[in-house]
Amino acid sequence: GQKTHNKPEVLSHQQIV
Amino acid sequence: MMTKFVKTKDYEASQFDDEWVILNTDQFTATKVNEVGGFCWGLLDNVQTVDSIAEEVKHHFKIVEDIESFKQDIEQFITELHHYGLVTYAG
Repeated sequence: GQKTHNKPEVLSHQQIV
Repeated sequence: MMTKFVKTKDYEASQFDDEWVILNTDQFTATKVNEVGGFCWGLLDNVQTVDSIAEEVKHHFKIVEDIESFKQDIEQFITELHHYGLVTYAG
């Protein structure tokens, strides 16, 4: 019975230079 | 009819502690997702729907709530991956 913890999230997105 | 999704390509993903970094080698981007996001990314090797992903997440992470309560979170996550070119519509 763990909702927020089981939410899939994108933490960051960045261009590789 | 339910929308189906699949990985655009089998981009490499590396795990660091509880986070995953997905490398898009076509657009030269790195997308970091949390543990649940990494699990969802792994499922997308095969064609999935929001419901099928939600069922797998519920089973894997032993969630007692009904999938209806977090389907929206998964849909938002998949939409974001689609926006970054990591996921594409399948059929």
